Amino acid sequence: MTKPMNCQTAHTQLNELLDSRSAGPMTADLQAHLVECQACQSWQALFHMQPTAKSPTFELPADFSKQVLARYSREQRRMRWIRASSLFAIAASLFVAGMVWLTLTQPHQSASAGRSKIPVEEKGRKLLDEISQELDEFQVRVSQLHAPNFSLPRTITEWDLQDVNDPLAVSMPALRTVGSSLQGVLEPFETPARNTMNRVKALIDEPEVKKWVDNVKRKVM
Amino acid sequence: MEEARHLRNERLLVQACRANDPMALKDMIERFQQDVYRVCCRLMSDPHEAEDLAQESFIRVFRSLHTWDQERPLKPWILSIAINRCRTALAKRARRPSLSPLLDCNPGREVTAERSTDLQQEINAAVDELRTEYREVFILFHTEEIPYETIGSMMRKPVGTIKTWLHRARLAVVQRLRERGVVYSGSIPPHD
Repeated sequence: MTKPMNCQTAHTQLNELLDSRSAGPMTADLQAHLVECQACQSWQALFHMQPTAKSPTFELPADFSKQVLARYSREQRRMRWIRASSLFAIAASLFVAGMVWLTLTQPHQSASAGRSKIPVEEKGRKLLDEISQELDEFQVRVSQLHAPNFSLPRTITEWDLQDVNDPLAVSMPALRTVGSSLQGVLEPFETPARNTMNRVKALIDEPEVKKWVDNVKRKVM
Repeated sequence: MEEARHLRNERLLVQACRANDPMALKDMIERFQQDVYRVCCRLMSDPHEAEDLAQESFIRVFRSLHTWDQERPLKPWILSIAINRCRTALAKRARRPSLSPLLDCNPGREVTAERSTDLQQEINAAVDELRTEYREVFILFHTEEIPYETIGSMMRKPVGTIKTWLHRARLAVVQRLRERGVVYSGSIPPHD
């Protein structure tokens, strides 16, 4: 006599049938078990869902595809805007970074330009030439005013502008000496001589000349 | 032969979609909208949310077309995207307090067993109560008729796991049907 099927075997066979998406053919043993076992009969309910699985009740709006396309179009526009904004932000960041870099490096470039000395040196040389000429004239004038014992300090008279790279820097102490010497002796003399002294003083105090001289000194030291 | 032709057609469709051809995009939506919406509906149990997720799924599909494996059919790939969107939405829903009672995609369906006589509707209600992965497998296999192997690749799980989940899902559905008195509610036999 054949041993009746148990529920576990029945479940296995029912699962296999469901896997094959078919309600049959059931084995004779399974059929006999289902007649006897009401609990396993409830499994048969699962076979009922398949014919109605693709239920027509899931109805979409008629314009579903239009809605999706409209939403996709909005999404694309948004993505394009985000991409453009990102690019703009990157460009702006680079621009700002560049400006900051330029600002930070600008003093360096000025210092480099200062170190070249060419424009200031030319200016200084020109001024010294003028002053030297004026001092020569002043010397002549002093002689004409019967002050034969007065002579300009040696430092001034021995200037050799051609041999000095930094004429103004080298001559600053000399100019100071000239200034202080003249101050004592110029009092009795006439205005042109006083003007010469003032020009010497003005040259010493000129900010641009001072700055240039300081740079030269720093470099030399 | 037929399958190769089908795949070739799908490849052409995808190429046209990637070129942003509006007709191709429309064709793609209309070809799969019912499948996507049905899966979303079954997973979300809310027609409005399902519609929104179906739209979102298509947008995600369009954006990801370059990742589609041309050797595999489109439908399972599209459905896996829809399932992922639903999974994310369900996780969000679980985190926020429920503001409305459970809605249903099928307005004609009664939720309670006492008032319902339709077996299919009862099965749907029982499926809605399954845990997420069981519900996904159950719907993909029984509603969408997708084979085990494809479900496995869609869900990135071994076929054995998918089978186990499906068998447990069936057992749970039968148990729910018994609890609702839809089918015989005698003692539940032990399962393997």
